[in-house]
Amino acid sequence: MIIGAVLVILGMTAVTAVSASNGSMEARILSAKEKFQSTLSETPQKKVDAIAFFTNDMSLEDVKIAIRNTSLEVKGFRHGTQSYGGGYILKQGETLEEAVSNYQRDHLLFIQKRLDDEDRMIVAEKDDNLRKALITHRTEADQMKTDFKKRGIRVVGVEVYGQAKDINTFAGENPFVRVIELKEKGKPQSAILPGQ
Amino acid sequence: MVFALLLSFSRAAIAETISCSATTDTQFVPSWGKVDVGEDQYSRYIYQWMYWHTPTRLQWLITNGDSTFEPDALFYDYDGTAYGNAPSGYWASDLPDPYVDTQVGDIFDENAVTVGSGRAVMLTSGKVYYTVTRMTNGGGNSSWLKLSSQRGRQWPTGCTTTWCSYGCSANNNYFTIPFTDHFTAPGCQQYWWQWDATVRGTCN
Repeated sequence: MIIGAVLVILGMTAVTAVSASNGSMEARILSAKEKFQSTLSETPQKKVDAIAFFTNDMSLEDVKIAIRNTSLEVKGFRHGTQSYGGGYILKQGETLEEAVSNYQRDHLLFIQKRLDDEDRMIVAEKDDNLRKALITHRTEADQMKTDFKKRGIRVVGVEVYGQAKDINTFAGENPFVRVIELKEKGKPQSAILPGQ
Repeated sequence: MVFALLLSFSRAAIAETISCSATTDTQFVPSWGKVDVGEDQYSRYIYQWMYWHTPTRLQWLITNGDSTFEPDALFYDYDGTAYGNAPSGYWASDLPDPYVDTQVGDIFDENAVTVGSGRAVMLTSGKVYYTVTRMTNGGGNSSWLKLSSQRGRQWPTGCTTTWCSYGCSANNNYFTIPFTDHFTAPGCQQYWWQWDATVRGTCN
């Protein structure tokens, strides 16, 4: 009975957290739109850092094609699902072509490293529960590898630097852009996932 | 409950912090963690794994809807020879709402290379989490590394402008691997925090 009560409380906490996060995500998107529109109308030629988040995930190649003929400087990419996320920060002097190639290489490379390391951890771990958790975690990594082989990296956003008016043009010409969110110096920014 | 944004002045930089409800280390610091720092033909990188073994170990994080969590990795740079400098290139994590942490406001002599969670309320006990990021080289080929578990909060709540995470102003940082351990990167180390005991050791 006590266990049941605890489960109910934990369940309520999780439901409350999810609905609160949905509400705050809507507020975040609304605020992002207002803030970008304000910058656009007041200082359209000002160069800004921003992330274009997408309505649906896209292949890295499609994103590259959409952005390579613009004047925007690509600073990074974001990928992710409800289960995991990540991205790629372009290095100084790295071209878009190089970045796309390196991003794909590293995604697979680090999944494989995780699989190899977790194999060793599973063998060595003495605690039953932690070992089971490691086995589950390794299975998730294996699924990520399968997903990558089927569909490649699915990108949910692209980080760009350029004039506000040019970013707006990019968004206008590409209906897959859901929202432009300005980056503020010193503030970390998680992804806005499709469907959130 | 009224929360005030505070500005606290650290030794070498201004770090923004925020007040949080009181808690203890056993309500947010992982029960177990592992860090693996290395280099391949492309660049240096840092991998971390972490695990909370019971719901009570996550108590503060999952009862505060705006909580954030950062498993900070800090490279010793007081002598200018840090192994790692800053995140660059590929990064990934299955922490809820992951982000690459900013170095703005950090202590200049400790290079933070961190992937944090913007929605720590969604963390679950009994599940392993990981972070990985490539990084730029620091000034040396080896250096001490410190791991710090930091709790924080989004501010403003719901973070309607950008996703903003601030460390709590009190009882916010616990060094799961302190500099005084002299763990040297590149290398691999793991810790058990208040899980029967607090111990650290080399990886298997």
